[in-house]
Amino acid sequence: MNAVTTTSDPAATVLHLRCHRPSFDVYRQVFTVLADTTPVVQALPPDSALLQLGGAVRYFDKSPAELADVLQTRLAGRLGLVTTGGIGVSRLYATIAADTARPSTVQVLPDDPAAARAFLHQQDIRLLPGVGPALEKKFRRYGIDTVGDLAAVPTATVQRIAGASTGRLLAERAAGTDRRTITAAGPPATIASTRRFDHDVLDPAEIRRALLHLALDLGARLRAAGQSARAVELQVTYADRSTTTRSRTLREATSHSPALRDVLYAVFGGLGLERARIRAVTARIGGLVAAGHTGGVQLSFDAATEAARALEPVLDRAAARYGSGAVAPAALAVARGRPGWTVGADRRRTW
Amino acid sequence: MSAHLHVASGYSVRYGASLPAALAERAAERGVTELALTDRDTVSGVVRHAKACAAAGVRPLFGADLAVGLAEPTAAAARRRSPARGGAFVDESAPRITVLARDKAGWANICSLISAAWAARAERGGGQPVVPLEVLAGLTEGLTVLLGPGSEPVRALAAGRPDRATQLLAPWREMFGPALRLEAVHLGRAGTSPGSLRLAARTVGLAADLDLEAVLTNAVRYADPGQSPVADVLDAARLLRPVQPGTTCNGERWLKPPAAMAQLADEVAEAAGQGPGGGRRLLAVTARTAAECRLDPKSDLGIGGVRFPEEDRLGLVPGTSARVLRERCESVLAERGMDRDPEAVRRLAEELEVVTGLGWSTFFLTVGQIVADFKAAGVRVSARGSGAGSLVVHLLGISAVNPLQHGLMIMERFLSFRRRSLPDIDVDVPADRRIDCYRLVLDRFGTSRVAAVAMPETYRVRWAIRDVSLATGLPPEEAGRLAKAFPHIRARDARAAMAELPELRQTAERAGRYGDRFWDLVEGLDALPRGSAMHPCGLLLSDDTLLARTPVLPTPEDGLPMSVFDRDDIEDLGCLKLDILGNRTMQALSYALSEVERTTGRTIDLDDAEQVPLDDEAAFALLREGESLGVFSIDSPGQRDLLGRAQPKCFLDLVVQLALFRPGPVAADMIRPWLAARHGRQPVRYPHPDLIPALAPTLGVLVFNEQVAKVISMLTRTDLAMGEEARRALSRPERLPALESWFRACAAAAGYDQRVIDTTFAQLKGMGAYGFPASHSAAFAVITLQSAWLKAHFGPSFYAGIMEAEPGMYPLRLLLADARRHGVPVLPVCVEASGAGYRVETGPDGREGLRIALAAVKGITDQEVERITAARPFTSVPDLWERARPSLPTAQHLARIGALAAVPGGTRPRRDLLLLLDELHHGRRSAAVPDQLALPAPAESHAPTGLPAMTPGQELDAELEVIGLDASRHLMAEHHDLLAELGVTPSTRLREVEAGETVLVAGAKVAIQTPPQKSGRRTIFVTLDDGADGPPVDLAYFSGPEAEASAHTLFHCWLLVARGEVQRRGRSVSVVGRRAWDLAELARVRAEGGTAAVRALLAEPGHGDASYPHGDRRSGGPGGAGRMWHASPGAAG
Repeated sequence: MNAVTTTSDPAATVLHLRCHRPSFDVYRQVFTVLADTTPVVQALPPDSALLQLGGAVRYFDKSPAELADVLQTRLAGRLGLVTTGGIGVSRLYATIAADTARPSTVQVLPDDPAAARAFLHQQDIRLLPGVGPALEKKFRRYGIDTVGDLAAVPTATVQRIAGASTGRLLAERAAGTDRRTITAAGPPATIASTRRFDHDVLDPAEIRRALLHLALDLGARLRAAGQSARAVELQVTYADRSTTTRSRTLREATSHSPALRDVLYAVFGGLGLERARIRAVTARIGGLVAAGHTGGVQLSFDAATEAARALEPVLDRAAARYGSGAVAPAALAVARGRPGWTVGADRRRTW
Repeated sequence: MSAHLHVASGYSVRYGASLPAALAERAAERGVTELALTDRDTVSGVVRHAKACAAAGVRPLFGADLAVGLAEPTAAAARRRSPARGGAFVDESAPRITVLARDKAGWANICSLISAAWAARAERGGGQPVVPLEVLAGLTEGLTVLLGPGSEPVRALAAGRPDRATQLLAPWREMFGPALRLEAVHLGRAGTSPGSLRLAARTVGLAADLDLEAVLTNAVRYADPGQSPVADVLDAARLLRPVQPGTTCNGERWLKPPAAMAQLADEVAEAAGQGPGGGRRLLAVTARTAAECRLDPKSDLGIGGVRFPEEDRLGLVPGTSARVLRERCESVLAERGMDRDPEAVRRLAEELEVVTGLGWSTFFLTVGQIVADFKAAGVRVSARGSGAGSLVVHLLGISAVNPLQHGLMIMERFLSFRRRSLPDIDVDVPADRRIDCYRLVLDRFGTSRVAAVAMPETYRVRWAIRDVSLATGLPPEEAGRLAKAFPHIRARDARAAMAELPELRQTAERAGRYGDRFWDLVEGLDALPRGSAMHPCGLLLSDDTLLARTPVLPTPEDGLPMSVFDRDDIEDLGCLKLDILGNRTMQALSYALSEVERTTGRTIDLDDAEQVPLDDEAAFALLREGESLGVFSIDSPGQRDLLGRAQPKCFLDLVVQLALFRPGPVAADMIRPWLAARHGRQPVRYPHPDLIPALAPTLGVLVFNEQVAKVISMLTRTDLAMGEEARRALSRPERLPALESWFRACAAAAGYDQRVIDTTFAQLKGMGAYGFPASHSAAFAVITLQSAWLKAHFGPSFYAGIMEAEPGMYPLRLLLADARRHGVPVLPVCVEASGAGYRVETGPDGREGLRIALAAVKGITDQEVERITAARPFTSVPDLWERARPSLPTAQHLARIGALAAVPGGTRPRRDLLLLLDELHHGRRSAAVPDQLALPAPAESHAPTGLPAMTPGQELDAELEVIGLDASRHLMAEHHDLLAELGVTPSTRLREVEAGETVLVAGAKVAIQTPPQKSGRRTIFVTLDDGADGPPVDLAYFSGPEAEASAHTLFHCWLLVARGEVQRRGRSVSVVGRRAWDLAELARVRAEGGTAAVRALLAEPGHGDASYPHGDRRSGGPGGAGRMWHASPGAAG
């Protein structure tokens, strides 16, 4: 891990790059492209990356804007991604520049601190990192609509409004100071699996079937990669495209499908959904560690659990030989895709 | 003989898919001879069922499908966690039984059971209406009960537990004895689920084992086999979730013909292991069960009879009501000295003859008693409608209008031997006292005789689309968009509307992707009830058998008893119905009078002609100036314009004007001839000298319903009652041709020449559209005059009243501007001075001003208002926070509009106050933790915070957002410099401008209307308030390319600048609009680019209907408390 402090470097060499709707897998690949230009790349999931271009400017003898242009082209070429970016002297400036850039362009802020600050002060208060919806509403009530308005208010008053530490931080940022560093770090390792329904599902049995399917899928992928997971996240998508997300951290890392299944069932049960119209469920597992590094496995005296664990390698081999799903729990053998009560010319209902 | 014993109609809300008429018709077609109506948890369809069956020739049976309590409550279910999203399932777990009424006692018991179920539901605070078993046990007389698949014993049977079923049946055998039936339902469903052959067979088998009788029903939900998808949609709408695959209705629950039922019976008997006689036995028991139900719609339900409250409730000896009515009327006649007027005596005799002849004297005495009760409770009462034209109604003190005064009103408009239905007497009471009035009636006559009337909400296109979308799983926002695209039309017209209406063109293009099925379902829901609400004004009265004839449900808000029947049913059931309407102007008048009394000590009786003369000069002067804002029913732009043209001088002028501006007289083009005759520009003309008596009071012009009746009866030589019947036929297009030939024949026979007949009939035809009877118009004119009188003599109190009651169409801020214009200072909200309501307050300069109410603050609760008024004066802002305990948002609202300025320490900048409040709030929150030392409130720091001060514009915005009013100053004031620069003519100077001259006018939009025009083209009427001292400016944009180019601006912007030509008619001045601009945009452009930019904007062609970005937040409207302008199609004319 190497950290680079930007405060000593007055030139605008920090690039904030945002991809337009990258899928989970594509986003991971972005970093292979970016790593060719600079080693100091920090992932900001789900769609952004932060780059310190200071070294690359000297190495390639190109301006930051030119480097950004190359990166945009490469990402477009290799991954088909549309990207928008901003370049500034610090992470704060780069982020705001990216937030205010026209789509698919890179906005470069001037090196001159006074000019950059003038730009910063024009911006809407909502764009200042650290200002969420609640704080934005509060600031507006106090007549603070732009970053410049905030900079004009004494720090003591900002602290009265936003609390001592947040207030000090925001007052500093409004003045153009950002103490955050850029730390080289790739995206967190996670694996995700999704099940979509072609109609609104309310039936808990059907959801549990989908969750079982997710657990089997994720477990098989974990074991194939020789890894174990420590965190499980369940995201439920509803008919109005809104979502609910709940996560659980496991006591010990696991790669066993029954264990994942039980966690998913428990998390879903905790939501207590009854009439919610569910359109999709997504499970993500994170905190991945190599299976050998888990530091021992809690032994179980439960014969069923032991049997399931013993069976797992067999099932995996069967899947490897005959394709996934060749052997599956009986619950999944129920015919899926029953006629749905959906509308649309392409999905004509059949009742 | 063939009977269906278990049939749900559409009145089983969101359950049954066919209305009673369709069911009865199909039953007759298919040879079903006895048809029961057993709706779920209600009997609101029985009157229609009875009538439909009588029409179709089927014998009706009456019953209900009821949810009942569990005999063995399952172990109290652990409190379920509330779902993170989407809400909980709709609970329908209670077992269901079907009861049928064998006789009158059974019917009374059904009514009581339903009342009990809904009362129990109200007590629990929601859920299913479930009949408690102990109530059921006491009300079994006259009832036959069917225990079907939904009941507890048969459920046990389905679960494979005949032993438990036997056990559970014991209490039912005890309760109902020989009237107990087991109900087998064979819908061909799988396994042992409800409706499966196996369960039906087990039911029949159990009945045989236990020596009980079993019947076969089809648990009908719809008339025709193809309607099961509609039932599925209704299930989805009821359970609030999409249709789930596998739970849909299988299409068997239709009204099957006898042969099909016999086939089912054989299958069930065979499956139950009975011989071929089993099926016949099953059908025979079914037929016998139906035959035992001997309830007669006429004698037992009371359809067709008339029931008034007993005379002893009025303190009368039974049988004396006719005499008492006569005596009472005659004594009042003598009191008023009218007994020497032969016309009055003759009229009274005529009316009494009709009333007593029809046996309705109790009806009049009852209403008289109710009105007397209201008056005794200090409630202002005014009769409206045709009832005000009756002398008896006047003499009983129900109506203040003397029908003989103007020679216009006739009794026949109200009652005659030709009209045998009970007449309507409608009374207006102040809007805030309406529920009190209901309670007064309840107190006098008791809950056994009085109930509110229900109003079924039926599916129209928007809800039909929403519910079909829910069923089919369309995303909610898409469903909402689709539904809102439609105007409020019938569901069955959905496709026709898409084909015809231009505004639906875009929707129609997308409609195909939902499929034909979708639109079939939408149209299939048409007219089915989807809920029921309390009628906004109807009350029914009956004798004390009411509760045996109708179930009553407690209304959700007020807990008033409400009958399940609607207005039409009530009429058929022979109950007296009384409309008690909440009238906001009357509320305003009452409030204003109390303010006058509070501030001056004077008590005014508005109804006393000595104190408030009906031709008060000051009031009429005000009206002639067009200053009628806030005055009852005469402040719309059209009426104001008519005031300026007509220049009313006496009460009769008002009566005529109120009735003139209605669709009927407008369609018959009566306004212009009346004005011309009135101002002597044309001589008064009559179609024929015979019509002079009828038309003289209105200068030869047809205005009132009564005149129409008189003209018809005169020309056709028939009596007035016939004339009135003919008048009613005028508004029915299907009756018009017959009427015309009858009229022409009679008039020709009477010797009138063709020209007279032609012109008169043309006018009469136009009057077929809605118009007023003179009685109604006169009753309204009294309130109009009273409010004008108050406005002229007690301005501040009048404004306090109308601000409090919000009558009329305009936004409150216009009324406030009107007050300011009439020299009434407006005092802003102040925690030290404002009351709960608007108050008249004497300012330091001795002038009476209007203090804005605390209740006007957005989101403030009554408790907060009470605490603030009780705890003042305050010593500091923290003191107010501690003792008045406002919620944080309320305190913030108060601080932002400067309402804390009078509190010591409250004069600092408003944003500093906000910060202080935030800190006090955090202090309270942390102190709320128990066992923690209560820290003293943070020392109030007076050091400046450095926060930007609110600009005047922001202060105004805050006022508009918080109280919806520009209280501190007129909102146009900030633009006055710009307007002066543009050369905009202020409203004060508009009267000096020559007609035809082009002017610029400006202002905040207060009303926009697009009434249907005879030409079919769109005319946009806009009213602007410009903050100068003149009256609001009325503009008319006639259809044309220029108007269309301005239309978007007119509809969507709030502050407007308009160019047009001045038009004068009488004393009325208006502007014929040509162009319009958004003032907020002009102001922004002026600030950014100077006058050159303004010129460029003014020179631009219009925006057309394309949308464009708004420069200013306020250009599209403030989005604050209350509405800022009135928008409606408006009235024709």
